[in-house]
Amino acid sequence: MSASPVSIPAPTQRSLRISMKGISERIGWGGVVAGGVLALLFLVAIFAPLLAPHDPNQVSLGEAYASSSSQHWLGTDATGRDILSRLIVGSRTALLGPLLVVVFATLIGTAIAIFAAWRGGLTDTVAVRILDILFAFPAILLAILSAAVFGAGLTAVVLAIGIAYIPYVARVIRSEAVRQRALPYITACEAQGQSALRVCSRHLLPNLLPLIIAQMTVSFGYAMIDLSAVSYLGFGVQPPTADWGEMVANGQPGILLGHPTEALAASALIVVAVLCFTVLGQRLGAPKERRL
Amino acid sequence: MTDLLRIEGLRIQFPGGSQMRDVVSEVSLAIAPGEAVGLVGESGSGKSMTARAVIRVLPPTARVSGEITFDGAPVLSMASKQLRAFRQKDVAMIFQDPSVHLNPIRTILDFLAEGMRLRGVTGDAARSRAKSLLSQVLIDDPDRVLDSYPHQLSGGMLQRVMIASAIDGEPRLLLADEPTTALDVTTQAEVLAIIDRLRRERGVGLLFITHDLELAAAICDRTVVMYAGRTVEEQGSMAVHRAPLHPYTAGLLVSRPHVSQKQARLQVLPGRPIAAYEAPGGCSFAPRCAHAQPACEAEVPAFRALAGGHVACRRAEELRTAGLLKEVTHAES
Repeated sequence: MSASPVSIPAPTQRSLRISMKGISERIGWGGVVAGGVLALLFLVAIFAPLLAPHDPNQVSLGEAYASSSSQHWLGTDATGRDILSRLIVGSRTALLGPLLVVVFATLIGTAIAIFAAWRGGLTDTVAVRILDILFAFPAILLAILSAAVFGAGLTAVVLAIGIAYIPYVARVIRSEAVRQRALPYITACEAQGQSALRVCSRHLLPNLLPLIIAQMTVSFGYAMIDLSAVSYLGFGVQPPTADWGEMVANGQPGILLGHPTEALAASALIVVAVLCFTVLGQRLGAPKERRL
Repeated sequence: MTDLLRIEGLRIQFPGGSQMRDVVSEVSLAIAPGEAVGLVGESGSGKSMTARAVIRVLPPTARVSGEITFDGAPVLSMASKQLRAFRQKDVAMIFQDPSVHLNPIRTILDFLAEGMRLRGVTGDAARSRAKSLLSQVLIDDPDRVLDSYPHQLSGGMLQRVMIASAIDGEPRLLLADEPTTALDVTTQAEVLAIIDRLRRERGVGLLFITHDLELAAAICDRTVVMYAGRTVEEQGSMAVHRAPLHPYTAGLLVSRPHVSQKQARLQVLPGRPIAAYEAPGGCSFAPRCAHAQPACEAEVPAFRALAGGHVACRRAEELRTAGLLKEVTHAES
């Protein structure tokens, strides 16, 4: 026995510790700004009732189309409701809807993706074909259809758009899962005698997580547009509940009457939120360097 | 004595274009309990695929036929539960490149504990067991290694970790697929010494895959030589060196560089190694063989007993008697 004991230098980094510098290096300053804006929006949504200066649904016809004042910072809409309060409270449905859509689509989409990638062969082919078929349905059309069948409202619409979003998530995750499945470390896990479920949940899924998170973030932006569009069309969030998409629709006559604040402010918020989600998603999905 | 592992007429095919192509055409070998067998062949000769077939971790498109039995149990027809138990308890594999066979986002402790968890060993017990395993593969600061991620350790270190994981389940058979090819020479020697010692201490059967005949001879009791997806020769490791039975083995031995002899040129085998599916009708080595006759290309030679070993060459006796396979060419050149 000639081999002598070997020592190694201490590992430089203990683990994937989170630091501000690490994050900004990973997603760039654009990503940090986008993330900051989104964090702000979510905080506003959470504390909306405390922040809103007025009752968002309080109609006061005498004050219709009031312009900006110390009472109503952004003025009032056609029925005299405070626009700022409606924007603040509306952020709840505007953010909650896409969140539900994305969580639903990601859970089911990832499960399908991993199952298909793991089994391969016929299972995979069938799964991909089903996803292709699902792909053919535009999300909005599906949402309108379900609203027509189950009645307008957030639940049915969120479910419909969630289903329509499954293929977007599943296709991307599946292709990466197929690649990872063929990597030797998965083979080694199998050779250890681990069950398929264990290998998928403990080894495959954690390695897919960065992609899943990025995909969720990008999808969030799209889901927001779709949900706003559905609300705009009147199938989603029902008046008088405040919602950004519904406000764009509600504010349209105002544009013609020279009071564009409501529609414009709601649209601007949608644009900003979607932009931030897209930027953040892209930065998360394609970091400057892929480590590990 | 019953064999620990028995492979008979193993054939592995992959879809290539419109038809199935052989990667392994016919492999037969046996390992007795505690015996070390070297499986030697060039790249693409089907060595690794043979080992992978034993624990059934081939790509899903592979089609396997023939027979593999472990301690009398047919491996190829095991149900998934049986197969998992077989992988957990009876057999372990050491891979060529350890760095890609470890999950990059899990620590070494996680990796080692994974196998223990299957036997109900968890928490502190798992950690202390992992430490003792690492000290058996001569790692002297196991705590630090246990908390490291794969990218923080060297190749030699990772291969030790792989070996530690392999011996954890007290397997009766160890499959080592070129365990030292990705390592530098000094680390190679250390890792080999560890494998050899553990095998002897524990009486584990070993299938040692390598492209290095001398390495096989140093570690293994017997050596099996593969060419183009077929086993062409099987003998005691020393005998392979002294008196090869197959012209291919003889050719390999001759083409090694020797430090002791200054040679202008190396003796080489003409042509290039072929894959199993490219093999001609008869003896697959015939096109490159110096002793080939037209009859050699007529049919595939049987793998038959000769002089205490086995060989798949029609003219083996003749060539042996005529002394044409002796390692004499060095002196001549």
